[in-house]
Amino acid sequence: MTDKEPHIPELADILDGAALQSLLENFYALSGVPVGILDLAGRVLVGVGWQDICTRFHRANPDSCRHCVESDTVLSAGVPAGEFRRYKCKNNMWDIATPIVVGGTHIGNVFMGQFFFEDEPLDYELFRAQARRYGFNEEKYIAALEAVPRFTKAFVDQGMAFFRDLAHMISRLSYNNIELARSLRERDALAQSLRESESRLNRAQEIAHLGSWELNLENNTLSWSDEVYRIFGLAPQQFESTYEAFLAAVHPDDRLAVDAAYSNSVRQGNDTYEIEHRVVRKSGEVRIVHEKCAHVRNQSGRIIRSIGMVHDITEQKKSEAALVRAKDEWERTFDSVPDMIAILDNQHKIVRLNKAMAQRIGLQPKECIGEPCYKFMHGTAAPLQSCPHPCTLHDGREHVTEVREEMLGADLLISTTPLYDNHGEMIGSVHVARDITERKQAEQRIVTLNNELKQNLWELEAANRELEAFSYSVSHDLRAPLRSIAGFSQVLVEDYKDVLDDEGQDALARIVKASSKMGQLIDDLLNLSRVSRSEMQHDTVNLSSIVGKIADRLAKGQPKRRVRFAISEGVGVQGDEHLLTVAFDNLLANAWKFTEKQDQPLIEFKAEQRNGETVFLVKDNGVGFDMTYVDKLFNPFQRLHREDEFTGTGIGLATVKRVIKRHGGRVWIEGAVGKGATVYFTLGQ
Amino acid sequence: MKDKVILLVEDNPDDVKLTQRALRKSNILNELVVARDGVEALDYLFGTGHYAERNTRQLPQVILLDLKMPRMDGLELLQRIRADEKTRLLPVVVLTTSTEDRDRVESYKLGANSYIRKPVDFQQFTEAVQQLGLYWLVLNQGPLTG
Repeated sequence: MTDKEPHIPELADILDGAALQSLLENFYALSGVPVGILDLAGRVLVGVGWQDICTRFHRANPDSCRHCVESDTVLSAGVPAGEFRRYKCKNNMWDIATPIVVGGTHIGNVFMGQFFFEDEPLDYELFRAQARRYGFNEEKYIAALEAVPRFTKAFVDQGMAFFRDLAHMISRLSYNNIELARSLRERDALAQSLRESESRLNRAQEIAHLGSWELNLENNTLSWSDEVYRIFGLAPQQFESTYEAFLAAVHPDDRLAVDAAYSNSVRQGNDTYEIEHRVVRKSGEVRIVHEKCAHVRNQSGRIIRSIGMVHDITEQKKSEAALVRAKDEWERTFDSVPDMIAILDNQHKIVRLNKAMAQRIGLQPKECIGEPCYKFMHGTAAPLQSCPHPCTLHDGREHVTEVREEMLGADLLISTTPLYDNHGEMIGSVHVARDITERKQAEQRIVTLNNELKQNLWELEAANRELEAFSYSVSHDLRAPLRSIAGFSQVLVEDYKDVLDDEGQDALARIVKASSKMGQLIDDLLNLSRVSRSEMQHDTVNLSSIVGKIADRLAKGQPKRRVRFAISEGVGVQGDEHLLTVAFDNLLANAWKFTEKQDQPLIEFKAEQRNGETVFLVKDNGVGFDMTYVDKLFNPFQRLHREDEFTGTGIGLATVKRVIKRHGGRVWIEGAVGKGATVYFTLGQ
Repeated sequence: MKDKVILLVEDNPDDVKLTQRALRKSNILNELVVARDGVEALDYLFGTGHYAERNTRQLPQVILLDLKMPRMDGLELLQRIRADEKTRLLPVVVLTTSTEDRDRVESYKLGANSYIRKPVDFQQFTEAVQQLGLYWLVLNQGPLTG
């Protein structure tokens, strides 16, 4: 509440109505003077000596009462303080009014009346008329009229002087009271404000862990704010407040320093003192505090007081330590990366670079910071065309490029990634250069090797083609003379039998047989080479069906032989049908051949599962072989039987092996003399 | 039947002799004309060069054609035979040592009527020739003379 003017209360608020009523009743008893104190609204606060004529007649009738109120308020308005006005009320009674003014404001009136002046004759006619107008009982009305007191002028004046002083006193007292009340309110408000202020300050100090203190050097009294106690781990207002007591709370190792610092600052006449030191709480906990104070001097310039603060910075110190640790870690990491890293600003200037980069360009970091990167990396006065940094600055995306930098003697893989500040503005990029010289060299080697490989492949293909042409012509050109040999030998045998003796005939027979054998050899060789040369087809091949057909053919070729075939049905594989047919031709021809001498020849074809793969087998119960020579069997031309025992070129199994190998499989053979042989193979599926 | 001529196009003299022998053994007594290579065969068929005097209206009943010959080989000759109106329909039996699939396929592509492999074994050779002769000279109805 702003008190520019005293708050003007209602009359009722400042008057002790009951006390005044009692006072004025006694006065009336003594003097017979009727008096009333009213507020400006016409409310009666004190009323003594009301005349019947007013109470029973004038105020009882609403019309006449209106006149009373009007008199009370209007007629009595505008009277200056300390004066009084005589007037006749509208009901023709005499009244005198003097105002009650508080703080310049008229808030009520003291009325003396109603009365008649002693020397004033009563105007009966007027009153009777009044009675008639308002319907009063004339007799009673007149009786009441005559009961109204009559005073001399001097008496009235005296009375008025009394009332005037009374009003004045009331006014003044009220005003003083109001003023006092206002001052008290102000004082209370200020006190409250001050308390709140102190409370806020305390709270602020608590939150900031910052306390205030004051040392009076003249009487060595030390006062601490609550927070200082808290910082020192003491209950507020707990200790004996002297400088020495303060020192006792300081960490023993720091005590001397603190004492010296403060004493020196006073002795040297400094304006301030500042120090960081440790404090040991009763609990043993150590806190780090920052102290600072200002010295206050007296008239003659001597320092008499110090006003200061204590700030508990233990947490800050911890944060700082953590920050420093983090910074160290970061720097160590930055410097331990083998790639060259530079942080560039928007003008290609180096903001920071790591150890790897500094070493590579052979300079100290200090010498590089603030300089453009291309100066050191490329030895140029402007960035390279291929530099990715401008691209990153332009579109805010990562850019990568490969560069051969002769100045550093290296192939580099350079990448730039945009760097943003807290507001999202691009402030530069992180420029990472990785030495990929070795990688590039390896790549080059690979390219070279690849080319060599291609070359070799081409030569191989050329060789293959030659081989093919060679095999082709071999099969033709060798056969023709062979046919001649066989043919004309036959001519001799047929036409010149009589002329030839046994030796001659025998010789011819051998010639024929030999040439036949040679023809067979040529066929087999041709087959073998074709197996290697031809392109592999990949189809679903029904092995059972192939075996069946070959079995039929063999049986038809030698109908006299009774050979039993046991063929597993439905054995299918992925492979080249032609090559597999060739393989089985050979396998079954062998089995057929070597069971020649068996009573109950049996040739089997099966597929089995062994160790998670499919193994195929062709088994016969023929003459078998000695396992000692098993290694020779797959070599071309290698035979274990003489020509007169069993015919054969020795190429069959070599051909089978090549077919199997081209299918990515393995082949092996097991047997025993007199117990037959089994050829096993897989097809690499 | 004696009018039916067999044209044998073969460069190997041994093979010629053996073929002649085989025919004889099979009692095929038709005239056997031998051309040593493709050029001679063309001379014969069209009455040029050595055969300028020949009546070219007379054409062979069947041509036995070897593939591997100097100057002009069997496939080229076959092409030429099939290219000319006069000789287009003549039955041609390729008789060759080659076991190459592509020779066989090519022969048929170019219009051969049959493809026989010459066996090394003389017995078999004789049988083959016999079968050939019987088929083409006796059983088969040719395009020209029936």
